[in-house]
Amino acid sequence: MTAITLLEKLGADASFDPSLLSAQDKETLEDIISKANTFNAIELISVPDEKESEEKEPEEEKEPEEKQS
Amino acid sequence: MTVGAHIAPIARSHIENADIVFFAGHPLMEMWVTEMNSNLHSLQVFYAEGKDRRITYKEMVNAMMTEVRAGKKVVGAFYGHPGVFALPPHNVIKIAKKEGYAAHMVPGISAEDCLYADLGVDPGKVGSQHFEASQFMFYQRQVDPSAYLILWQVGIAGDKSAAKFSTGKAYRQILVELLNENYPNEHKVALYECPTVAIREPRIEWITLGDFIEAELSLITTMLIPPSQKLLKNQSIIDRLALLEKNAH
Ligand SMILES: C[S@@+](CC[C@H](N)C(=O)[O-])C[C@H]1O[C@@H](n2cnc3c(N)ncnc32)[C@H](O)[C@@H]1O
Repeated sequence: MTAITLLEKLGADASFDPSLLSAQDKETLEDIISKANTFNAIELISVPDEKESEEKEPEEEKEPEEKQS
Repeated sequence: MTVGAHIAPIARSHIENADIVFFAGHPLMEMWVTEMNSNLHSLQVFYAEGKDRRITYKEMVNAMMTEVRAGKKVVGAFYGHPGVFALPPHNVIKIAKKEGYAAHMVPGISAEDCLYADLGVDPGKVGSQHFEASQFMFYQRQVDPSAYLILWQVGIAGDKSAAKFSTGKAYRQILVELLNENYPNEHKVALYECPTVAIREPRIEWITLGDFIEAELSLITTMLIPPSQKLLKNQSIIDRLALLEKNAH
């Protein structure tokens, strides 16, 4: 099993007991975890200037105007 | 969120059946998603310290739209729930639809969902309010101190440049002072991080609000602030409702 398959199984399979991992598997996992870089998790922006609202969202689609009866 | 655990079957199916997948998330998640579809392109390449994230997000959207316009079946896979505190997924869907392409979002499991499970918090118990930490600082918000307050992106709280990878103690000091309007420095708050892999524990660190200034934060830290006040009865409404019931009998 590759390290990622192992991690997937650990996350997805409730019957997969992590304490039964072999020493080699544990080492493989620790290795891949320690080598993984951090990532940029930031996906939202709040900037208090005028430009922001234009840049932030593409124009909202206009609702069709209600007809007057 | 956690590799293996937090993906909806329909999201997985879309990824497996896509011509091309754009991915935003932890490198280990990226490796996992690559097993589902090897034609994966990381959106992480668009971030750079000092670069305005408005540009980054536009580049992400453009990268996805270029493939959509080329007639490909495109999936943008964003960690957590793609529509929660995340700008590019909403923008790319709006643009694609505006150009006449079929586009939709499927929900995922958010940091918020993991927080409720790991901290044993029910957002419905006394209500909850969520703010992006910087927005909370830049704008005047009405905080309800009898409900939970959850602040996202606290690691970059107060960043006006939209280009930083972290902000420091001076910024957090201002955030704490703002929070002091409703919460004393001794008030207990939780710093929460859902683990990326199932063999790690979540970070659940209870500290005082005052200690938040010195706390270690990362870009995935979320802060939970429990209520500082009890719910106050709205007696006039209760009385009016009682009258309704009385009149109904
Ligand atoms: C741009 S938002 C994206 C949230 C994501 N769409 C979701 O549904 O969880 C980034 C913020 O989400 C929160 N977050 C992301 N990953 C997290 C994790 N593993 N544990 C706790 N909070 C997390 C943090 O507040 C972080 O600054």
